[in-house]
Amino acid sequence: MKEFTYTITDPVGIHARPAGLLVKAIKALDSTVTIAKADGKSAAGTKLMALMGLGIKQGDTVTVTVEGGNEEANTAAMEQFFKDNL
Amino acid sequence: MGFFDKLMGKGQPDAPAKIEFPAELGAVADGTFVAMEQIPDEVFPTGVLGTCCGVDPTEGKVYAPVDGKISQLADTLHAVGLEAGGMDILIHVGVDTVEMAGNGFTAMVKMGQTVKKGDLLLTVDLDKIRAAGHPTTVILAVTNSDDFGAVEPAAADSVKPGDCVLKVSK
Repeated sequence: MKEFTYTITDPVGIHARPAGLLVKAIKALDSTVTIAKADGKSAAGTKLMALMGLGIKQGDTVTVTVEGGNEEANTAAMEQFFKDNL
Repeated sequence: MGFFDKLMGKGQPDAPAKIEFPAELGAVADGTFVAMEQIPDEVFPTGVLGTCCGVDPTEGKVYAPVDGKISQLADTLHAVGLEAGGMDILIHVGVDTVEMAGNGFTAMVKMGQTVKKGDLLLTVDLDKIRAAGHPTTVILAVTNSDDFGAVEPAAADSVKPGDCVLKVSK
């Protein structure tokens, strides 16, 4: 299991469009990805509505956990995705 | 639902609504049907958010497409989630309206509330959306379309709230 933290810089946080892109990116990986907020709430990275339901906003720090499959490469891919999109 | 009704065991406000499949999802607004490919956004037409369709609304009233439970209500009130028979439904009012931070949107429902098809979910000031430079298209998406056999468009032209716009089969 690998994880990293990321602080959201997108002014509107994880709303529909980035959540959709995130789910698509995660579905392409062979790892299980979980997104957790500082308050302990978390969502499976493949569940769009659950992700949006976290209400992640600019300035929130999230912990992204990558488990199973090629954890090294998939964690790198996720870090890049967050930097590029969120 | 009054306390007495609860005492008498009548109704269960939190019970998930039963949905028969194939399920028909009704138009969420009065207006003109917009096919998924024609939604004026970069992401919805790609299907990343599930199979979807839109309505270009003639009035700022957004209705429940099917019986279900409010699973999400964005702080910005421009998007509502509805759980219905295993379908994770997203109703997204306008494009890029997240930027309006709730201005012009009024929620008529609460998180966790059980709703019936046709119940008013939101009232929206369409002129404010237009003034902000955003399309007013109200988008209805089955975000977990992959979990179903088929999600197919079922309308083409003008629709009234509740007219079948998407058909979902197991």
